[in-house]
Amino acid sequence: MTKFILKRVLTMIPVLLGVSLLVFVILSLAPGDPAVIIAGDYAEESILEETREELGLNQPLLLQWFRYVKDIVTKGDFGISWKTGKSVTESILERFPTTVLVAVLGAFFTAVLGIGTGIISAVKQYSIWDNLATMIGMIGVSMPNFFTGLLLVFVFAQRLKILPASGNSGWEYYVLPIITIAFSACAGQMRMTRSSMLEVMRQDYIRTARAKGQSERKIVMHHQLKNAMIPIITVVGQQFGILLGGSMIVEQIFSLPGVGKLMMDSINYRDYPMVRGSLLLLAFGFCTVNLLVDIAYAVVDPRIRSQFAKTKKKKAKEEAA
Amino acid sequence: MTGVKDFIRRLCKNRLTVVCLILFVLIVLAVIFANFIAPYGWDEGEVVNRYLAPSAEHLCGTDNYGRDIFSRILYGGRMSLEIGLISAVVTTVIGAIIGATSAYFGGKFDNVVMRVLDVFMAMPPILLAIAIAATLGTGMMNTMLAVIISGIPMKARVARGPVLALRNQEFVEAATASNSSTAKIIFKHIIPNILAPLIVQTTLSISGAIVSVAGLSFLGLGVQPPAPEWGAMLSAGRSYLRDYPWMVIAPGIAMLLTLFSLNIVGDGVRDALDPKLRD
Amino acid sequence: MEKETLLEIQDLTIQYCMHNRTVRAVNGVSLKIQKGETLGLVGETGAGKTTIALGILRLLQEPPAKIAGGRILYEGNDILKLPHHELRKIRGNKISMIFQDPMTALNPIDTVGEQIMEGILLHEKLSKKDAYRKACETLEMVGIPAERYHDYPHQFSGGMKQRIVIAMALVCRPELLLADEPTTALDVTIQAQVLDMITRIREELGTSMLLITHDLGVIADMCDRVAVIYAGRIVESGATEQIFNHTSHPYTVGLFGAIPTLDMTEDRLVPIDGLMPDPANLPDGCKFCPRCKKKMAVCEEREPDLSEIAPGHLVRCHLFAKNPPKDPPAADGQDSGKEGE
Repeated sequence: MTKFILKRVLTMIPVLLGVSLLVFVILSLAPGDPAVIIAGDYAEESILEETREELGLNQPLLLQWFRYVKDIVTKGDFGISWKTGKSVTESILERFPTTVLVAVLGAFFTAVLGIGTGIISAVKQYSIWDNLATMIGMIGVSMPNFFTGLLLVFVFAQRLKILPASGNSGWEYYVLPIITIAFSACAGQMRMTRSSMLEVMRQDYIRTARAKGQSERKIVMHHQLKNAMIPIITVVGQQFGILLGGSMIVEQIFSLPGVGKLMMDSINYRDYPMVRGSLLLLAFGFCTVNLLVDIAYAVVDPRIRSQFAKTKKKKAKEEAA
Repeated sequence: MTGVKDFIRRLCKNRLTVVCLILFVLIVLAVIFANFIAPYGWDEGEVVNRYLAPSAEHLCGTDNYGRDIFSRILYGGRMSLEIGLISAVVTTVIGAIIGATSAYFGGKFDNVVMRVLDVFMAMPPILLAIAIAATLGTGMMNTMLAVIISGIPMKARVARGPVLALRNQEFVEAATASNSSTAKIIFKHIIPNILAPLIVQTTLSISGAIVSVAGLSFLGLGVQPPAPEWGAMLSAGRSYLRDYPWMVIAPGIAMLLTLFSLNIVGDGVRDALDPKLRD
Repeated sequence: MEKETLLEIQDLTIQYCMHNRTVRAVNGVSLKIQKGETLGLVGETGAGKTTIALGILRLLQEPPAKIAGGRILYEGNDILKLPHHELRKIRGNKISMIFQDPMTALNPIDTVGEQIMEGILLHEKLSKKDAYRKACETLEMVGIPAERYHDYPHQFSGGMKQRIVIAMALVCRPELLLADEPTTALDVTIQAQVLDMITRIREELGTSMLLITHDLGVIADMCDRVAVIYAGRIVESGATEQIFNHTSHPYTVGLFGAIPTLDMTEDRLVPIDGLMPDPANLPDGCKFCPRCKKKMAVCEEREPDLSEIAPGHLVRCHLFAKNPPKDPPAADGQDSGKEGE
C-alpha cells in the first residue's frame, strides 16, 4: 500500500511539470509586452530593454520555463508580481486558506448531502422522496452557480437581511458561498450515487447476501454502498475540480479574498506571474485531490491493490530474466 | 427508418421528457424568431424608461439603460444557444477524432496522446478555459474557442474507450485483412459504430457549453456588454440586484428553464439510445 | 416406503409483469422434496427452473416478478407468508442456494473468508474466533487451503470460486440445498470434480437437494427423483429409473432423443424441433403441442392433467390420460422405440 501511494505520487510529477509548461505557454501567448506592462506605457525603450534583460524575457521560452520551475522547486519561488512587485508566493499563500476553506467545506457538504440523498433515492426508488430528490437534483444541475449565488444574496442578504452579502470577517460570511458552490455539486453527486447504487443493486452478489439471510439494512450499508463507492469517489474528485472552478465565481460574487479572486484581479491587471502562480496552485490542489481519490480507490477495491502487486511481480520477473 | 421511429417512441415514453422537449422546442423557436417576437430591439431603449418593473408593456421590466429585458433575453438566447450548440458539436467532433485515431493506432502514439490529455485534464476545465480566455481576449469567438479547447480532452477520453473495444472486433479485423484503407475503416466501420454515444455526448454537453460561456462572460472574460449574452446580463444586473432584482432574476430564470429542459432531453436521448435499457 | 417430506411446493405460479405484457414463467408447479433425497429439475433454458428456486427463498426481484399463487410449505409453514425476519432465519440456515455463475455471485471487495463467515455470524451464536475457525474448516472441506481465507474473489479461478460459493451455502449445514446449474459456468473437467464434491459433502451432512440442470447425465448420476419442466409446467416426474427406463411424455422422449445408451455421462441435450412458446403468449392447450410429433386434436383444445401411470410416475399428456381420447397412437411405442435403439 505504501508502495502504491509512492508510485502514484511519482506519476504526479510529470503531470505537474506538464501543467506548468501548459500554463506557461498559454500565458506567454497573451497579448501585450510584459516590459510595457511593468515599466508603464510611456517608458523609454532603454528602460524596457533593461526590464526584459532583468526578467530573462529575451531568452527562449523553454529556458524561461526551466528557470521558473527550478525556482519553484528549489526556493518555492513563483516569481514577482508585475503589478505590486511583491513575491507571488507570499500573496498566494495569504489568500490560499480562504479558498481551501470554501472548497473543502463545500466538498464536505456536497459529499454528505449528495451521497445521503442519493442512497435514500436509490433505496426508495420511485417513491415520492426519490422523485422529489431527482427533481431538485435536476434543477441543481441546471442552475448556473453565479445565478444561485445572486439569488441567495438577494433573498438572504438583501431581503431577509440574516446573512452578510460580502466580506470575510466571521464564519457567517462563508455560509452563502458554501451553499452556492455546494448546491450544484451536491446535485451531481446525488445523481451519481443514485445510479451507482441502483447498478450495484442488480448485481448477483447482492442476491447472494440476501440468500445468506443478511438484513436489508446491512445489505445496503455494507455490500451495496461499499461497492457503489468506487464511482461515487470518482465523482467526489471531479466535483472538487468544479468546486475549485466555482471558487472563482463565488469569490467574485461574495468578495472573498481567495486565490480565485486574486487570479481574476490579476487577469484584469495583466499581472501574469500572479495568474500563473494562482493557476498552478489550483491545479496542484486538484491533482492532490485526485491523488487522494486514487488512494481511496485502492483502499476500497482489492482489485486495484492487486493490479499494482501484479505489475510489480511482472517487473521482478523481467528483471530476473 | 424504423430505428428513428423506435427512437422517437422510446424518447416519448417519459412524460417529463416530452414536456421538456416541447418547452425546449418553444424556446428554440422563440429565439430563432426573436426579430418577430421581441417587442423591442436588443439595444433599443430610452433612459427615461430605465428600471421599470415588469408590466404588460415590458414583460421582464427594463434595465439601467431603459432597454426591454424580455427582448434582450430572446436575442441573448439566440447567442447562448448558438454558442452552446456550435461549441458542443465542435468539441465532441474534434475530441472524437483525437480519441478515435489515438485508440485506432494504439501503441506509442496512443501513449503520447494520453499523457498529453492527462496534463490537460489535471486542470479543472473551467480553470483551463479562464486561462485561455485571458490570453485570447474577450469576444464571442474567443470565448467559444476557450470553451472548446478546454472541453476536448474529456471528449477524447470518452471516445477512446469504445474505439479501443471496436478495434479488436472481428469485422474491423476482417476489413483490415481485406486491405481496406485506414480512412475507409475509420469512416465506414468505426464512426458509424460510435455515432450513438457521440450524439448522446453532444446533447449532454450543449448545456455545459452554455454554462461555461455564460460563466466566462459573468467573470468579464467572455462576451462583452452591450451584447445581450445571458451571463453578461447577469453580471451587469448584479449591481442593481437590491432594488431592481428582475435584471438578474429574469435572465437567470431564462437560463434555468433552457438548461433544465436541455438536460432532461439529453438524459432522455441517452436512455433512448442505450441498448441496455431496451425492453 | 414414504419418507418424511421436507419441502412441498403446491401449485406455485410466478409471473413477470412488464409494462405491457405478463410473462407466465411458472404455472401451477407442485413438487415434493423428501428428507435426504436429491430431486432433479430438468428443462430447457427459460423453462422456469431458476425462477422456482429463487421463488423458494423469495429472492425474486419484485417487481417485475410476482408470486401470483400457490404455497411453499417448509416444516409445515408457508414460506410465502412468513414475515421478513422469520424468512431470514431460513435463508442460508435451513435452506441455502448455490448460484449458477460463481464469477458474479461473490462480492468482489470482501475476502472469501469474510463472506463465508457472514453466514455463520448471522445464524449461529459463535464468537468471532470460533466463527473464523469454522469458516476455515469449511474452506478445507471444499478443498481450499485455510490460509486463503484472506484472499479476494478475483484471486481465484472459476472452479475455485464455485467451491467457495458452495462453502458459503453449506457453512450452516442447511437441510435443503438449492443448486441452480452449479456447474454450467465451469470447464468440463472441473464440472465432475465439483459435482463429486457436492455429493460427498451432501452425504456427510445429510442434506437434501434440489438440483437444477439441463444435463441428463448429471441427473442420472446424482438424483433420486426427477421432474421435467416445460414452459413453466411439470410435464413428467418420477423416480430416476422410471424416467430413464419408461420415458413417457413426448417432450422427455425428445430430451433423450439422440442418446444411444443409458450411460450418457458425457452427453448434453439435443434440441427438439422448434422453440419453446413465448411465455407471454402461451397456447391454450398443451404447451408442448406445437412441437409435438404425436399431436392430436384434443391437445390444442385442452391442457392435459397429470396422470399417474405407475406408482409415483406422473405424466401430463393426453396419451396417458385416464380416459384417453378416441384415437390414441400406441403409447408403449415410444418406450420400445427408445429402448430398442
